[in-house]
Order: sequence, then structure tokens, then C-alpha cells
Amino acid sequence: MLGTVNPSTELADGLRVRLELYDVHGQRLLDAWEISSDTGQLRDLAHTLSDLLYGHLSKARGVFATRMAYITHVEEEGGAALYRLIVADVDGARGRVLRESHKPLLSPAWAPDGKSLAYVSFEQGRAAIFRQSLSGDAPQLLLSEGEYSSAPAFSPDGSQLAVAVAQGGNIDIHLLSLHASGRADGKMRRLTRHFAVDTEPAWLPDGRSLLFTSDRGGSPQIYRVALDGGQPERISFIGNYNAGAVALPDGSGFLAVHSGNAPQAEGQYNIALYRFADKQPRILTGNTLDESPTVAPNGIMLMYATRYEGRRVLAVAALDSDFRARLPARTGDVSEPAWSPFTGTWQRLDTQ
Amino acid sequence: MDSSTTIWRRVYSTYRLLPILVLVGCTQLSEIPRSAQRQPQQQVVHQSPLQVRKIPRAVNNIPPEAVQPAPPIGLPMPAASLVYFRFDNIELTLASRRLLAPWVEYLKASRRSVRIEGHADERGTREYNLALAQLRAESVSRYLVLQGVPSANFEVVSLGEEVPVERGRGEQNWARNRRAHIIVLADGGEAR
Repeated sequence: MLGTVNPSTELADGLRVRLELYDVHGQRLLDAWEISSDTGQLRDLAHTLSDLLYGHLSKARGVFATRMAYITHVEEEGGAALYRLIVADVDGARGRVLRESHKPLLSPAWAPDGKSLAYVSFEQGRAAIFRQSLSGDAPQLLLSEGEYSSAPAFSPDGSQLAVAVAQGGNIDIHLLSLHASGRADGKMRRLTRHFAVDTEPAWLPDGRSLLFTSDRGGSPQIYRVALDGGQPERISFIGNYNAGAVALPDGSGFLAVHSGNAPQAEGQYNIALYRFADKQPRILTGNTLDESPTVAPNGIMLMYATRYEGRRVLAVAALDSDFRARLPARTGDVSEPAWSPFTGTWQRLDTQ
Repeated sequence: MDSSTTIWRRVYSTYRLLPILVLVGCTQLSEIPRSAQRQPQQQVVHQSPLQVRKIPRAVNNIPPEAVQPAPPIGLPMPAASLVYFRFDNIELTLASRRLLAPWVEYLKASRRSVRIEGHADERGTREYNLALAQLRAESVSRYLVLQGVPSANFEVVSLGEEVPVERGRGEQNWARNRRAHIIVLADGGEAR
């Protein structure tokens, strides 16, 4: 691999980077790219180069230029709790506080265009759903319905938000339609009707059905329901706790928080991978109290929250190997990771 | 939907006891002597129609105290305000119902408003725990309403697993976090 960096001919304070990838043994040029960038965008430049190389060497698209959202919690001096919704590069750099509150924040969910997030805040006293754009506009209240509104999940086309609403002694999944502007247009449709708890909606990538958690069978398990109605179908059967599902980007299965039958009392909760084809849980993580799985948009890695030395920390794991790593955090608790969709930080100028 | 689903939840929890009720029923049946079961089916008795007389209001001599007892002066606020729950469970235990008994008396007498906060331990997902904590708080409020406390006097809030009293691990800590907290509100609605 060879590269050159030169001052840009087009941008006043810019760079022009040329990258050539060679097959040394075969003595041939495999691929070459030229990227122009502002000198202030060196991280974006590096991530884009990494994505280009990764995309060439692997069948999957790189996720170096994606972002993650997460929640931090620290005790301020005097003991007051402070919660922050943070968006950072996926390697943890360039963290930016999107929202700060003395009341708990949870369940951040990316809009499919990667330009805004929905999340849950208790600042009104009870859980309600807000939306915040990355451009720094004021937060927008999306839904404050019933006893609480929570668990937001954008449909793949961004036109609807699946939510859990507690109302009249019952907790069900509802669909809230969104304007093109992203605001709620006031139309809400109830998708599940059961006296048991139905929560944690998660869209399948085709946008035609949803996964959700329900304890209608006596313990929390994962169910699937089609948007056009019909009876929800139970799809997790092994273990007495399966909850918090997220679909894989290729639609072949999902991740869920899983606990087997015996070790639950010791807090043995792990992230399991389920394929729709066989419905067998494959345990991907090995700590205790692992939760909040989120999948990279290329479906190769997952990020999740776990515990380390009494604190909540984030960790990553591979879906198809035993690779696992903890992400460092300086203080307080870090939890509720949400991996962004692919973000277009570069444009391909040539199409060769 | 609201009232019907609540009813179904109630039916659902009652129906868990059904096998026991049926067993009890069977035991009693078997104890009835055979002769007793062979009683003539029905004895027709000719009776004159029942005579009902309406008592004029003025003559209604039930003392008003019996209908609405005067609030005992200075009934103290119950000391115990935390109701604990079993894991992944929203049902009140016998101990919890005993704990709530003085609250029933206090709330009926004082007519004060309360906020009931539901909480869960850290195990499992945040959102499922938010649901669980909601239903725990509702278990308490429903029980109080069934005992005659006016439902308008409640505010029910779920805080999920977000506000633990114990940050440690292990069943001892978790058990203390699985709770519903009754908080008496000052007249302005603020917690006292």
C-alpha cells in the first residue's frame, strides 16, 4: 500500500490524498483512490480510507466512519446524578454531548438517515420520547402518552416510530407516524393487544414486521408481529429470559438478552444470536449482566453494555468469531449503546 | 380497551389460582354424605309475594358515622412506605398487603394524595424493567383502590431500574431495589 499527501488544488486549506493498494506477489495495482479533505477533517479522512481499504479486502462494507450514541451517568459533587446522551465516532473519539439531564436518559435510537436520534427522558417526571438532531437544534418532544411512552424504534424508511405505551394498566406496542419533517403527525396505531407486557419493538430490515418482547407466555420472550396485523408468533423458546431484540441488518436473525434456566439468580445475562432458520441461541458474550445489544450496520460486530469493576461499561464482540473487547471509560457508568447507520462522509467522484 | 384489559389481567391472575380452587371444591364434595346428595330435588313452597316497604328518609336512623367514619384525629402516616416484590413478579405478597393495611386507613382518613413509584432491579433489559416497575406500582394502587381509597388520590410513576437504592450486586441488593415506594404529596402536589 502506498500513499501520498499533497496540498489540495481545490480547497484553500485542504489536502489531496492518493492511496494505492498493490498485490506485492502478483506485482499489480489492485485499486487506487484519491480523496480531498479539509485539514480539520483528518479523522474523517482516516476513517474513509480505512473503509475503502476494508471494503476492498473484505466482502462487507467498513464501519470505521460510523458513529455510536450512548448514555453516561456520573454522580456530581453533592451526589446529584447527571445523565448525558453522547454521540461519538465508533472508536470513541470526538464525543459530543447531545443532551444533558439530572433525570435518567435511556433507549437512544438512530433515525435511518443517521442525522437524528430518538431517546427516552424522565425530565417530565415519567418516561417520554424526545427527538434530537445532530446539528444541535433544540430537542423536540415526540410522544408523551399514557402512563409512559418509551422504547422508540424508527422504521427502516423513517416514516414511523414504533413505541411502547403504558395505558390503563396495559403496556402495548404502538406505531406513531412521522411527518417528512420528522415531527409526530399525531396519528398512532396500536399494533399489539394483550394484557401482558409488550415492549421493546425492533424492526426487521424489510419494514414489514417487528420483533418485540412479551411476557404473555409467563416469562419475557421474543415475538414477531406483521405490520398488517395477525397473531404475533413466538420465536424464542430456549431459556427463561429473552428480551431486547435487535434485528440483524441482513434480516437473517436477531440478537437478544438471554438468560438460561439455571444461572439466572447469579445475574447470568448474555447476548445471544438467534437465526430465524434454527431458533437456537448462540451465546456471544461472557460476562454477567450483559445487555443493550446493537449491531454494526455491516452485521459483523455488536456493541453491548456490561459491568466491569462495579461500573457499567461498553464492550464489542464479533458475531462470527470469539473476539471480544471492552471499551475503556474514564469515569461513571456508560450504557445503552446504539450503533449508527452507515453515514455518507465521502462521495465517489470516479466510477472506474 | 382500558377497563377490559385491566379486567383480563385480573382474570388472568385469578385463573392461576383456579386449580387450587377446583381441588378445594373436590375435597368438599367428597365429604358430603351420599344421602345428603339424594335429597328430593325441589320442594315447591307456596308463598305470598314479598312485601317491601320503603323507609322514608327522615326515619332512616342509621347514624351518619356508620356510613362515613370521621377521620381519626392525628392518625399517623405509616412508617413503612416500601413494598417489595419477587423477581420478575408484580404480585403483592401477604407481607406487602399487611404493610399496606395502615396505608388504607391513613389515606381514607387523611384524604391525602400519594405518588407510587415503581422500581426494578438491574437484571434484564431497561425497557422490560420499566414495564415491570410500572405494573408493580399499579399493583399497589389497585390494591389500595380495592380497599376503598379513592383512585383520584394516586399518581403512578415507573422509574424502571434507573433509581436503585442499592448499587451493589447480589440478591440482597436486588431484593431491596425491587420495590414500590409510597410518597405522600403535600397539597401542592410536591413530595413531602
